[in-house]
Amino acid sequence: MQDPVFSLLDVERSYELRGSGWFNRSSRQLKALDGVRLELQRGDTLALVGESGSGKSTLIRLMLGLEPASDGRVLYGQRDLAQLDAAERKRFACEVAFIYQNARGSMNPRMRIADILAEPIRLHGLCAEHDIPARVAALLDRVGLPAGLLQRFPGELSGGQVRRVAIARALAAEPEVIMADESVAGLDVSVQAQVLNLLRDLCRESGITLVFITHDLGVASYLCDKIAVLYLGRIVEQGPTDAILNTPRHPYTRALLQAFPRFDVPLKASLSGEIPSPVNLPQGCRFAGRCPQVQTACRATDPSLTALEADRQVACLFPVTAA
Amino acid sequence: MNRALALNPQAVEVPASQDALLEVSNLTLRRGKAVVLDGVSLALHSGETLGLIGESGAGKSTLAMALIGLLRAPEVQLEGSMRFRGTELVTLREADYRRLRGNKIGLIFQDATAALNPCFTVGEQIAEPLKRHLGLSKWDRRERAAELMHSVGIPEPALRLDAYPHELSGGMQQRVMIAIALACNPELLLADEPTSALDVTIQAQIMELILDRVRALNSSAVFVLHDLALGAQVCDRIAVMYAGQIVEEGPSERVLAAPLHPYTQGLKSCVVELGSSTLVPIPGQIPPLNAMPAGCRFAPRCPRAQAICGEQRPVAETRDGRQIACWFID
Repeated sequence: MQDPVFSLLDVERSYELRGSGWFNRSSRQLKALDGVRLELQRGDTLALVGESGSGKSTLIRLMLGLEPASDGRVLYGQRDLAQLDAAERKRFACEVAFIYQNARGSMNPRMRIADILAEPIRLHGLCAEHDIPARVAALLDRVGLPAGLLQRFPGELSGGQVRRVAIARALAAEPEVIMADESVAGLDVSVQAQVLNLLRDLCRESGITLVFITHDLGVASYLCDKIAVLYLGRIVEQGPTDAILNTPRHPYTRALLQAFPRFDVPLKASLSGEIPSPVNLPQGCRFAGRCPQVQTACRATDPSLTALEADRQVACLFPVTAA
Repeated sequence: MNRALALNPQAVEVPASQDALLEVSNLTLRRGKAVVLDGVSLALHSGETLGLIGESGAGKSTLAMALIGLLRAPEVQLEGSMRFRGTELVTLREADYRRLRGNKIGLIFQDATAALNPCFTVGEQIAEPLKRHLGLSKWDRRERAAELMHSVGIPEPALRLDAYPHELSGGMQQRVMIAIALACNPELLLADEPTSALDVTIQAQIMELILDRVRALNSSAVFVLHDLALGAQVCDRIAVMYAGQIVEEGPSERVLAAPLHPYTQGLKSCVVELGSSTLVPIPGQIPPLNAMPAGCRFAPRCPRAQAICGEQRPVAETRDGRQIACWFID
C-alpha cells in the first residue's frame, strides 16, 4: 500500500478564551478539534460533513498548515507540517490547493481574471512568461468558461462563474490535492449541478485527491467516495459513502440523514436542541445530550473511534445495528 | 406520503371560484423599464401552504415583498390586482397596509440576524406588534411575548426575553423571527427562505415548527424556497417561477413528482438527492431583465423550443389539475 498523502495523528486544536474584565482574568479553553485521526490516500475523495460548529473548517485549516495543531501531528507524506522549512513550505503550497468558501471574497477585486489565474503560475515559476497567457486560457477553458472573461473583474461575474474561476485558480499550479470549503453552498440548483459535475470530472480525469467540506449530505454523496462525519470536534463516523448512506451506524449520522429533505419521505425533525458550545464540553459522549437512544453509560464514558468493519469506524458505545 | 391531503383534505379539491384568502391576478411589477414580475396569477385558500420555487432572479422574493407591501409605488409600478380577503392591496393606502402588516399578514425574513434590531432585546421586538396592533399593556405584552417564545420552542423564555439578538444562535434567532411573525395570529404568513441559512437538522426543526403553528392558527402560508424536496414536504401547492413568470402551478405532489413544464423538469434533474449518480444541469442562465426574449422567457434554454416559442408567449393551460405555460406540453 502506498504512503498516505495526509495523516492526522490524534490532532487537537484548542483556543484560549481570556476573561474580558479586570476581575475576570480566568481563562477557558475552547476545543475546536479533539483527538482527530484521519488518513487520506492518493486519489481519495473525502467529504467532511457536520453541522456548523462541528470543526470542519478548523480541520481543513490545520491540514493546510494555516494553523498549528495544539497537540498531535499533521503529516503530509512523511513530513510534519509544523516542521517544513521555507522551500518545503512553498512546494506544499504548490501541491495542495485551497478553494475558499467565499470565492468572491478570496479574489482581489482590482485584478482581472487573467491576472488572478496567472498569479499562482508565476509565483511557482511553472512556465516561461510568454507561455502564461496560453496556459491561463487553457485553465479557463477547462472549467468551461468563455475566453472573453479573461479581461473582466471578479465583480462583473455571476456567482457560478466566480466559483469556476476559483476552481481554475486552484488548478493553476497543477496540485495533487484540492481542499474546498463549502464550494457549492448558496448556489442555485442548476448552477450547483454544473459546478459539482465540473469538480467530479476533474477528480476522475486527473486523479486529484479531494477534501470537500459540506453540510449537504447529498453533495457529499455525489462528489466523494468517503465521508467523515464530525460532531463537536470529533470524527464520529467515517467510511465509504455507500455504506454511510445505506447503513449509518452512529445515531448522529442517522439523524443527519433523516433531516435531509427528500421527495418521497416526509420531513421529520430528527434531533432536538442544537450543537452545544465547545467551551464546556459535556462529560462522556459529546452527542449524549441530543442522542435519541442515549443510555446511562454514554454520560460517563467518552467513546473512541473504533473500527467496526474493514474501513468503517464509529465512535459510539451502542452503534445503530446494521438492519 | 400524500402530505398535502393529510394536512388539509380539501387542499386539492377546492374549486377556483370559492373565495380565496389571497388572489393575485395578472400582477405585473415594473422597475423603470424592466418587467420584474410579468402577469403573475395565483390563488391561496385558507389553511393552504404555497411554495414559490425557482432560481435566483426568478422573482420569488419580489413577489413576496410586493404581497406584503414593501415594494410599492413610486419605487416600482404595480399593475393587476392582489386581493387579500377581498381587499385590493395594489391601491391600498400605506396607513391601511400598516394595519395589515405584522397583524393579518406576518413575514419571516431569510436572514434573521439582519432582520432583528441589534439594539433591542428580543422580548421588546416580539412585543412591538402586540403593542401596535393589539394595544396590550406593558405587563401583558411581556407575558404574551414569553408565551410566544415558549410556543416556538425557545427554552427558558423568561430569561431569554431580555437577551439581545447576538446572544442567541442562528436557529434561536430564526425562532424569534417566527414568534414576531405569529404574534398577532396572522391569517397569512409569508416566509422568505426561512431556513436557507440553517443546518439541515435545525431546518427540519424550524419547518416543523412553522407548519405546526400555521396549522394551530388555521392560517395560510406562502414559502419562498429554492429546495424542491423541501417544497414537496412542506407545501400543498407549488408555483414554479422563471424570470418573473409562473410557468407551472398546482398541487405539490403532482408538480414535483411528475413535472410537465420543461423548466420544472430541468430543475428537478439538477437536485442532488442522497445517492444521485447523475445531475443534468440546465444550460445557460436566466436572461437579464433588460434583455428578456419576446416569446417564452425560457425558450433560449429549453430543450423543446421551436420557432413559435421565440415569438409568442405561451398562455397558461390547465392540464392534469395544474396550470402550465408552455407551447409543447408532453
